[in-house]
Amino acid sequence: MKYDAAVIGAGPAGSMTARDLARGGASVLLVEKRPEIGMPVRCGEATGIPGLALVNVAPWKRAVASETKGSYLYSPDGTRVQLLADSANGYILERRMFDKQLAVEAAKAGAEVRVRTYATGLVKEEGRIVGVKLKHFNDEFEVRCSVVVGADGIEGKVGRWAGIDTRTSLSQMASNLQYEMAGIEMDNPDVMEFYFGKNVCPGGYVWVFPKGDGCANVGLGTRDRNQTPKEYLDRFIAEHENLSKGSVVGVNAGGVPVAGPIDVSVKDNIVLVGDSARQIDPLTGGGIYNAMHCGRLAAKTILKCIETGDFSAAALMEYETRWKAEIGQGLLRSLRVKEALERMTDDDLNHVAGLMKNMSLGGLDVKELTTAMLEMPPELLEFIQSLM
Amino acid sequence: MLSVDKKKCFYCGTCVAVCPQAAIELLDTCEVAIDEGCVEYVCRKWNCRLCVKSCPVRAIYEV
Ligand SMILES: Cc1cc2nc3c(=O)[nH]c(=O)nc-3n(C[C@H](O)[C@H](O)[C@H](O)COP(=O)(O)OP(=O)(O)OC[C@H]3O[C@@H](n4cnc5c(N)ncnc54)[C@H](O)[C@@H]3O)c2cc1C
Ligand code: SF4
Ligand code: SF4
Repeated sequence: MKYDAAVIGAGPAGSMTARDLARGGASVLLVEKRPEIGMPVRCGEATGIPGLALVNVAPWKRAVASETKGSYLYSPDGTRVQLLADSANGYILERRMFDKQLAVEAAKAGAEVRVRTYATGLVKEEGRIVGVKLKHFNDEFEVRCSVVVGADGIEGKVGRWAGIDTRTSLSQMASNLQYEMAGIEMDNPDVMEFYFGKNVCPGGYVWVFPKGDGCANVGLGTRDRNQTPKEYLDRFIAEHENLSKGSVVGVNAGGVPVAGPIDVSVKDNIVLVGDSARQIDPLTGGGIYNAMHCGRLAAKTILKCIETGDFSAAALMEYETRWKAEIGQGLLRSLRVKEALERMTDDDLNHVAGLMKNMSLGGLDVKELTTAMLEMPPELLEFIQSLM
Repeated sequence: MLSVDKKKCFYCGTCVAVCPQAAIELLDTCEVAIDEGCVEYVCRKWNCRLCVKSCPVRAIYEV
């Protein structure tokens, strides 16, 4: 059997690509090596509500743990800056259910979904990519297709097999650890918390994302190699009684590439989407929305290629041009802000937080804000905007 | 030689993403495999050990 597209990896990027391709009438195979889609989780699970509407996903009730309406940012000396919206504008998801939902949507649209099916290489004929090699338990077989979509995440190999350098250098890889905690207390269980400081988490921050019912995702990512993320996280929790009184009911680890997007995301008969193309935000580590959005863009372009029968890099380039136009600027801005944030000392952070502490950016006092803004480094302003 | 401590590993893929030799794989059995050839010939020579440094929980170790 020959498919129009073989999509490797059933994360948000792969499932959305497969769903939209199938909805457009393409024959699609979506393979996932894990036995259970969405497990194990490697994610803080925060995403914006407007974004989901944009990609046309109404999350299942059981895929949403809680709704949030803004953030508290804590500077090293404990000063709190509030960025609050009037109503809920974010979800903390249950990724295990959310990823499952997206794969179910792909299947319902007509994509053939196969779990525990491992892509082990590309099939080439006369130098052209004509399919993928798959492994299911001990069966090894080949499947033919016009295009292979590498939606295989940070550990992705499709790009590398096709000769695209998707490797992230160690200096640009944030190593993350997160606990799902229960029995904790938060100042406001509708608000996400971020803690900054050299001792808290050098070059990053600790996040506390409320999941409702006294539960939260508490995690951090760092590129400091002197101590492990676990050492930083355990210390942070020990120093916060509202957290240390709870229990850890889940642990997950993960890598967030903070290098910004890869240069090349298409080749003849190859498209990369999501984390495999590093479409993840290097500042916030947010990648769910971008993966879904770019998955849809990839599907649009591939559907056109199916009509013309041309799957060359030149034809697939439309996808790359579009995603770079739509999210590329944002990613580059995040990169700049991330670098500025890294340069700021704890004193700088405390100073800025002091300027902003009395403002609630939801019910904004314009005079107060402009006074504070005049004193604020421009990169920091960008950072604050990016969180709103 | 490098080995992965199964009791520590979270199957997170960070090591895979930084390996310059594409020598690490997250298998469909939720286990991590490091290509022995790499470890014997490339790493001994290069001694790169980027995977070791990247691992969030130090699950990769020298045996
Ligand atoms: C600790 C941490 C916290 C995060 N927090 C957030 C957050 O709060 N909000 C947010 O928006 N983002 C967050 N992210 C980022 C987010 O998780 C990713 O950006 C998102 O999952 C990317 O989706 P994807 O589909 O590209 O890749 P993935 O979700 O990684 O999916 C890739 C899939 O491909 C499969 N696969 C790989 N190779 C093969 C193969 N050879 N054969 C078959 N299948 C294969 C994998 O098993 C996997 O299921 C976080 C990441 C980490 C590590
Ligand atoms: S030591 Fe280097 S080459 Fe060897 S597996 Fe680790 S990262 Fe790859
Ligand atoms: S980085 Fe560490 S925890 Fe993650 S897959 Fe590799 S060995 Fe396992």
